[in-house]
Amino acid sequence: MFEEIAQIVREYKGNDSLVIAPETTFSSLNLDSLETVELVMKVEETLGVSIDMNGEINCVGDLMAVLEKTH
Amino acid sequence: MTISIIGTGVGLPAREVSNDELTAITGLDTSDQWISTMTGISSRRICVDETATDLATTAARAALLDAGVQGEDLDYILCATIGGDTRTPSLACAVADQISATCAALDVNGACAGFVYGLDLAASLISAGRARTILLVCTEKMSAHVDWTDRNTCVLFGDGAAACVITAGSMLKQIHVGAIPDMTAITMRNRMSGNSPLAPTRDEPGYVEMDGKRVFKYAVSIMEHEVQRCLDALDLAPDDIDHYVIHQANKRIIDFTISRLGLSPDKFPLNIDRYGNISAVSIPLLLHEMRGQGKIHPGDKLLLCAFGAGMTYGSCVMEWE
Ligand SMILES: CC(C)(COP(=O)(O)OP(=O)(O)OC[C@H]1O[C@@H](n2cnc3c(N)ncnc32)[C@H](O)[C@@H]1OP(=O)(O)O)[C@@H](O)C(=O)NCCC(=O)NCCS
Repeated sequence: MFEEIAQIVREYKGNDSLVIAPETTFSSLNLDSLETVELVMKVEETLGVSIDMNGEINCVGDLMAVLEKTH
Repeated sequence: MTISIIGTGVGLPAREVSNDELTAITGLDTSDQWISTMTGISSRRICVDETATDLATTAARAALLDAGVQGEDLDYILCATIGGDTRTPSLACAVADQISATCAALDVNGACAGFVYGLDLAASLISAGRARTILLVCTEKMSAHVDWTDRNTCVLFGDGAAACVITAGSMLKQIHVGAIPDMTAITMRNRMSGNSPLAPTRDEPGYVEMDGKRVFKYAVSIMEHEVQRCLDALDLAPDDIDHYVIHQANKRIIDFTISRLGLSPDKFPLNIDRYGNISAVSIPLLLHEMRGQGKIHPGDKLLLCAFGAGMTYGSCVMEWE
């Protein structure tokens, strides 16, 4: 699942060689809070899941944790 | 035969408040930079001593004049609002009083989708033969409803009114309204619900509260879905639409929708930069401004789409005459 999310992040940023780790924060990728929502929506569509944004989703690992908890 | 809009008018507070002024007036920890980057809003109109009735009446008179219709010619006044100056009588009755109309007068609370809801009701009344001429007045005095100490919400909204006169015609090609019930995404508690002498506690006054990210997600998916639904219903291609007149809640919602649908930003008129979100008023205000600027031509196809607290939504396609 990590690699799928990492690939969606790379596509969103338009940079295929972007190095992504679970600790990579969205702000370090220069995504503001609404761009993070846009990215989450792309993950939802690509993986066919729905993601609750109520908790803090600051890094790729947070996103994976929410997904693992709900699916 | 459906309905046509034969006149439009607006009523706006005189005072325009820029982001910098708003920051100074409220003393909030916010900035022009944050507000404009996150929302596309530069300024908004805010009432000083104007009432909702004042704004609604100004818009109503201008629309009647534009249409060449008198107050006494009306069969129905519909006000799209989340609340006028008095809970009862309705704002529609307050407008009737001001323009010397004696027809049916009713408020409709479809939140930010109120204009499309109003059009749907007007179309139903006219096609059922219950009315020939309807005044739809969208009015929102959001400054009365927001918590001025909450930077998450108060920076987003503005005050204003926009009206249109509606008769039987053939402009409206397709309309759909609906709701995805969610009682907490945007909410304003009723200030009177704890007033019973038997209630254990008294309610505090309620202001607009919002889960911004949840609303953002709803808004983008509703717009995407509704645009596609309108196009499919009339077998149109995206390029067949000349103007996508979309509720002005946040420019970022509009930008994201445009990129997801792969549409041209030139077809999306904007006024959020100057007015912020005026709820049901934003679309008819845009229509009025576009007419004034000569941007709508006979034969142009317009796709209107709005979403609001509820979550209500509505969309329609019109061909201008
Ligand atoms: C309101 C909106 C712009 C906020 O964006 P967001 O990504 O949800 O922002 P957040 O609330 O997570 O805030 C991001 C940061 O900005 C801060 N912030 C919020 N409002 C701020 C303001 N007015 N000025 C400065 N900073 C602000 C937050 O405190 C947060 O800072 P932190 O990360 O240090 O805690 C966005 O949610 C939105 O527009 N949603 C749709 C709302 C809407 O259209 N409603 C009406 C529908 S009809």
